[in-house]
Amino acid sequence: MTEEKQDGDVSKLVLYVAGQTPKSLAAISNLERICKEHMDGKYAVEVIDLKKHPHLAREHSIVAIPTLVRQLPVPIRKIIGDLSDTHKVLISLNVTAGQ
Amino acid sequence: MTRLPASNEGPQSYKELLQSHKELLWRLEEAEETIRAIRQGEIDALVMRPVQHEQVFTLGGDNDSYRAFMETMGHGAAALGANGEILYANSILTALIGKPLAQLQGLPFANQFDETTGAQIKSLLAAAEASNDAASSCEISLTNGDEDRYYLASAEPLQTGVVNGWAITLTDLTDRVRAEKSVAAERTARAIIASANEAVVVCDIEGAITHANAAVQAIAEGDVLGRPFHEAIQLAFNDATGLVQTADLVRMAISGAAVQGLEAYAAKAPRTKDLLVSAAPLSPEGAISGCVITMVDLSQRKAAEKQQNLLMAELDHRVKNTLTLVLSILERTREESIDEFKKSFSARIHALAATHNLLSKSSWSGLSIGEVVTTELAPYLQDPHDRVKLKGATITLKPRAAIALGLIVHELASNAVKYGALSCEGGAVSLFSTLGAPGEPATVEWREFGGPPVTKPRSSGFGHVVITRSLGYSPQGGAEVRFEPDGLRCLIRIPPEDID
Repeated sequence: MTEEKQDGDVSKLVLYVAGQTPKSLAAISNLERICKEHMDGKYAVEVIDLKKHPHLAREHSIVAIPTLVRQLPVPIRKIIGDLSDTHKVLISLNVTAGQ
Repeated sequence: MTRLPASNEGPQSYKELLQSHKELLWRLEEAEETIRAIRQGEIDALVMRPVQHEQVFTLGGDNDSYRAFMETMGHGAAALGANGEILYANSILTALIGKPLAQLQGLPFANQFDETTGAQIKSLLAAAEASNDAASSCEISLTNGDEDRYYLASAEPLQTGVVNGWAITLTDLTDRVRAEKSVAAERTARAIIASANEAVVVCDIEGAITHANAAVQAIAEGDVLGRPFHEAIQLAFNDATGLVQTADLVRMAISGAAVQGLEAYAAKAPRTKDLLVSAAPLSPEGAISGCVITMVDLSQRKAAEKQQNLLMAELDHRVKNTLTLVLSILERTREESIDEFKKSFSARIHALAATHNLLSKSSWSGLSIGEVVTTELAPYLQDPHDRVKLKGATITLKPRAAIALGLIVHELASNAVKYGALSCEGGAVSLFSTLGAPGEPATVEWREFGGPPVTKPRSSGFGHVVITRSLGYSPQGGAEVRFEPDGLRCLIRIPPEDID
């Protein structure tokens, strides 16, 4: 679980993974890279391993893993997959590249 | 999550209907995105709720089986994702990299090594991709602490669930590489020893000879390999006053004390006896495992030293002889005036010097009678061959006889120019040289013709003494002067031991 500074402008992200499946590992690695390169510390990330806590899938109705949920700011956004398409992730998170 | 309104909740406002429609559209979009992600292999697990509780199912099977298999391998092994990121690495490989698995997962495998090795890994993955199903491999070296270890890195395409990645293994080749290097080093060492001009012997820790080059055969007879050095090659160290024996030399080197430039004599050596010996400990792996002994042939240097000593003694002897001769000339040169004395004395010293010059040019190896005579006559005659006939002039004399003959010819020529055949036009001199029978002296006959009538002088001067005594150092040497009316005759006997 990764926690960064939180204030009014931060994005709250929840990444749902399934243990250490290749796509889960790739999603963690890609999200770390995207946050570091494009989000300038304005994010809070929570990684939830549904292998260990499957019932937590219910909160965001998670079906496919990995899935990244942008909890804040509203409205909620879901990005399904290993987050390898940085451009698509940034658009979904409503983050301008290089921000 | 937002719920759809239940049918029993009464009529909905337009706003509520619009919101419901919006949410339905959003959920449809999410459902379509989920299906797309599944179809395109972007996810590898699904959450299902077959009964009451959610369960996670991994697509393409669970990874535990291949991970268990990788752990049982005796080599370092990793499963990499499509971009070369680490999905899993077994304990051997994580220990090799020096980080726990949790810190490595998701990171590029190639970046876990130094720049050179990282580039090799990237090339390996590229080669494996290009060769499709075939495995590719390359050798890499990794530093573990102070130790360099060598590995065969192999990469092969691997399907992990929905991911097309790579299986990579690192097989430890260190022992094999070290053995190969050791063999190569041994080969190189043997080549160096074999090509050395000086004799080189390598001994083990017990002092037994393990290597010896060809030059050693000049010092020791037979096969020296396996024999203790002090038995195979017996050396005497003259400068060490008998305190150092051959075995001591080896013992000192093996104990770590190098010995340099000790002069030794190998009395039993078949060819090379005079040696310059050095010994040094051999410690290729840090600990001393034996010693290296080199023996340089000093025969030529010793011979040169002997020759030099001989020459020095000879020079000393000759200088003393010459000084004695000069003193004798000085003592016996008697003239009526100082000017006459100076003239006669200088002429005799010049005569002596002329023969010395000739001997010096010939490195004191000897002179022919012709060379001596021509040189001594040069101050008196522009062309000695006009009025002096030589015969048998090629007989070669040793330095002692050459100097004496030079002085005799000088006195004879000086007398002939003053009073004899060379004092007037038409006069001539013949100089006939003849070798005697073995053990007998050679003779040189000086005979003057065409000069003024000769009368025997009332007293004999120093010139006469020089002529008759100069070759008197040997019983068979000497000279006799006869004042015959038609010309002076002088019969000179050269001792047989002074004829080359």
